[in-house]
Amino acid sequence: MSKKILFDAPVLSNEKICDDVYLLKFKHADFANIVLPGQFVQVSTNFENQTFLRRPISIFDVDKDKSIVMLLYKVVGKGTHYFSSLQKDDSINILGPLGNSFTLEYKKPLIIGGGIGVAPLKYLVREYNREGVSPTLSLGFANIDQSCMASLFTELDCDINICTDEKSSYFHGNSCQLAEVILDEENYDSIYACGPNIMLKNVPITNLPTFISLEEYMACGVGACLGCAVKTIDNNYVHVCKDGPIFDAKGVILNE
Amino acid sequence: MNRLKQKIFDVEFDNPIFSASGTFGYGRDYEDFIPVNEIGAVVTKGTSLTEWKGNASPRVYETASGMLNSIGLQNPGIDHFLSKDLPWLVNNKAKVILNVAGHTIDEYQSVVEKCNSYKGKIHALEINISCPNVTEGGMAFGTNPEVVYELLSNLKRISSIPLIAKLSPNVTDVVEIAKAAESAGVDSLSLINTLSGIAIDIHKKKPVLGNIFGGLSGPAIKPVALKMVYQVSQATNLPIIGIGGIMNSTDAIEFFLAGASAVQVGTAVFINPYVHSEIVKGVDDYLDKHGYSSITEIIGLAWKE
Repeated sequence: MSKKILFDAPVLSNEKICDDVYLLKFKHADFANIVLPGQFVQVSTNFENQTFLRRPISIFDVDKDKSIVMLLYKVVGKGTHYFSSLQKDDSINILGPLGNSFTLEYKKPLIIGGGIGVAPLKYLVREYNREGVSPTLSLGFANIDQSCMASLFTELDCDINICTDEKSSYFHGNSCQLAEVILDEENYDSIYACGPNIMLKNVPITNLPTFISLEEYMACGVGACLGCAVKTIDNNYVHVCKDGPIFDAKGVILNE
Repeated sequence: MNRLKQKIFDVEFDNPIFSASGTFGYGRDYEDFIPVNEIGAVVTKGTSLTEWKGNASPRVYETASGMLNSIGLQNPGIDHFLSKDLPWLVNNKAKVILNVAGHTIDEYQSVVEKCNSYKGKIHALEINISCPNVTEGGMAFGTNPEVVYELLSNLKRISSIPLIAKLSPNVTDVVEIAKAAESAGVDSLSLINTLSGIAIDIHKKKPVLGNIFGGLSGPAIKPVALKMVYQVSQATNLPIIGIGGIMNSTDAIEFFLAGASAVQVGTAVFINPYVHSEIVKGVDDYLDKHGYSSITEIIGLAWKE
């Protein structure tokens, strides 16, 4: 695991992608060089509006040539509301890279994302492309507006399948139901998934290696406070920040 | 010369800025940011006789200027600490204060007995009689002066290592508890542990934390902690270790002026992993600027004639 660093970085842009979802780009050469797909950062909320703790945010994408790191986040509370107010040339304070990373050892992965759960998946696809692998994606969104997040993936080599909970021109259903259909069509050798726990509980049960990226309320982000606990099938606790965020889907019991 | 160096219960500390139990693991989690020998002392996670698994999720939740936690003293047990973590801490020249937890007096005693042969490597034992997040032990031992006396006098009788009693703010009169601990013979008092609290999810209409109640920490509790240090340092003759919401050197200096001989910095490290080093420098600058040659000269100035 690479050394964790704490740094201020200039915001390059902070663009609204769809309702409540923003793409923030910042520049930092050292960080861009060491961060791995699946890892996350703890971003300072700068004590705005009575916030206190940092917020864990996934690494959405990295442009190593230009030293640009991208965070995709949804405004859900005071901390992310503060992030949405950041403008070009503002500074953000970042602690990272944190957590484990996605393995890139498979040849035909199926990647499932639900809503803002697509946030750690683009960098995964990009790194798989570097290995010469073109993943298949099942991306589910609440509605057409939210499905704009899928357009962020089109520059990469991958097969994008979209569904929405609301009726639309896309597959009607959630990303796990769509994944079941996709799994019937071809042989895959692995499954990756990220989204709310209610979705992850419905990830297709197969004999394929299945990796899920989890979220939990978090304080330190480095394994010190033991706050972000998830129960394992053998009745122990593991921690999202240090043991995860990526776990073998068969090994953990998801919180409601 | 080092203005911050001082002897507390016969142990010489390079500086009086310690980590706080439960926020620093066993020292390794922040090693990318601060070498453990640059912290006055590493105060470890609460450690019990056997492994404790901790409470159900969610375990942490942000509040205004602070946070609630209900970790439940998850720890790998004393044998794991002695065989895996202590050698690393010794190797890295840390001053080590082991926080000790138990469900029963016997469990506390067994941990203390196991530590006795590590005197000089473990510099003090901080007896946790104040954790609000476990049903047996913890705070149950820290809210009744007779129980406090019984537990601590038993431990003092068998311990070869200095004892610190970590006190709870969730009592009617902290001075009464402090005096009970002093008469039991402990070498020092640390205060305060977290304040018991709750948060409720208005969408689910239920408590947020898996354990329902949690302990409040962070700058929200600093005035409460400072008041209790101010009271207890005058009411007892023991060295006091001040804890509660310290975010920067100004906060730390307030605790020294209130009567603390050392401070523990806990929740702040989650936001700023360099916080201990920054406070060490800030306190040293303050002493220099005001013409003091030792930290001991400012302890209790807020109430001394």
